[in-house]
Amino acid sequence: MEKILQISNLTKSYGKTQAVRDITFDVKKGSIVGLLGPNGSGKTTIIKTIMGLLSDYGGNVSIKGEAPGPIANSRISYLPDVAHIPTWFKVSRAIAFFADFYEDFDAVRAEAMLAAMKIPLDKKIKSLSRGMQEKVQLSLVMSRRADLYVLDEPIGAVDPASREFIIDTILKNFDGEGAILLSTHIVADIEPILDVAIFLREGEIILHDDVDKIREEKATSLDQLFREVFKNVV
Amino acid sequence: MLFKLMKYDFVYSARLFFALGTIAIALAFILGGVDGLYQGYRIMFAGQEQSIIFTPNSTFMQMLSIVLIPVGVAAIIHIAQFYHKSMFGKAGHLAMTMPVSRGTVLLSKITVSFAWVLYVIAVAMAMVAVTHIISPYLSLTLFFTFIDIGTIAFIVHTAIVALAAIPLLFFCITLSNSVFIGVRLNGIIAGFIGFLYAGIYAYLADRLTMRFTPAIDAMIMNPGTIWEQHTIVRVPLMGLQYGRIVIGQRPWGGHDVYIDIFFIALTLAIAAIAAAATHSLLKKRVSLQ
Repeated sequence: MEKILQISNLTKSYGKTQAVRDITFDVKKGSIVGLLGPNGSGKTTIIKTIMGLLSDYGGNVSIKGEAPGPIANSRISYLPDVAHIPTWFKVSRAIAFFADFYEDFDAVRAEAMLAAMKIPLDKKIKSLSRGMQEKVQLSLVMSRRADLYVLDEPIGAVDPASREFIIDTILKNFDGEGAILLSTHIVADIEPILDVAIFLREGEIILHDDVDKIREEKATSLDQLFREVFKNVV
Repeated sequence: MLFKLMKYDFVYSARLFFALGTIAIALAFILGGVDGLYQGYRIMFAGQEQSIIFTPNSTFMQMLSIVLIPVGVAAIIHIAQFYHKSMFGKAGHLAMTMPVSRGTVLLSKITVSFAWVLYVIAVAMAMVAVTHIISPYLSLTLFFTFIDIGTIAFIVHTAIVALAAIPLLFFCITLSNSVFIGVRLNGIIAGFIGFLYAGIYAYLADRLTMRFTPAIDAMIMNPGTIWEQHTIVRVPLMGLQYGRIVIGQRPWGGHDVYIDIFFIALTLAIAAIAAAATHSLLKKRVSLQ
């Protein structure tokens, strides 16, 4: 199976604090990989390194053979853990923005998704509720035909009902031609869609395997295992 | 891609600059009215024989400068905020992860900011024109008499200085968001470097201004004019006494052309170095946390 993302011996420090240490894993085409860990375990640092938002790191990051940068960015659809689309944009302008800069963006698909959510295109993003804003962002990100979708805490700040919608949106728009790397500390909702789980603690990988294999070997659900491993941390 | 980026950068920053322009012009209307009242009182108390005043008086000039200076300062703050928020704020997660090189993103920001500097100069001129229209003791004809060599020299000089100052401002902001050996520099260090540069550049800019007025006069306005030794020139900034400019030891001549070209080239070189250094930081040292 083709490797979309390869990370080897990734190390990153903030001053004297080591954020991630000797991280090595890859993401294969068609798979959904979960970076799972409590806050401060290094999930976002790994994702920001992939997206070229952090420099001065050790090790190698390769997206289909490209180091983080403009070419790699053309292949990655990124959902950060912050509201990155200017909130004074109208929804229609946000669609136009994505269509202008991303060749693989499908505006028709985005409009259909937003229509299904009853989000008017002529509304300014800042006039929408936080949950709605997250849905707009996710719709735009998932309307690209990217090789890799990198989703940082896609369900971290929304209510349980919205989580279901978000997971549904991710699955509906994932055709298996690419791969998904997502981070979260809410495992229960995301467990059914994961193929591979990576547990992170204090910047190190403490578990990395297929989800089915983990369930079989540990005789427990991923969520239960996560709770046990991080019971005093989460 | 550059033009698409510029389009969005213009839209992103336009609201603040248009608001600034609107406020500035509104203040000019008030200032024109105040000048009318003030001049009226002077006529009333000074007597008919001394009452006809054809030029803006010093109080008017002071009031105008009190309004013009904050407009310039607000413009600089807007440009700094525009760059910082769009590159290192939440929107930076979008700007820095687009399939566009960081150099193109930076060029777009510099070009758009420079265009806003030209806009602010136009607003400042419009402000003075409005005060001349509104005040019954001033006139548009009088305004146009101030558009002379000094004004043109000032505008060209401001534009050239801005061309170097904008990349430097961006360099300092980028530096304060960069990481060296795992340590993120703070704004104080970046600010100190900017301050140091500003001190050196202020001296150079001053020299540039000194050369520029006679240069423009000799090259464009009055070809063939030789500026006399130790000539003291008052540069009227649209009516304001912008400052005294003392021309150098020699009359402006063939040799000085090279000095002028040197100062302009130096300014552009500083702009290029600041832009290249910013680009390098954006590529290799940026840390969006």
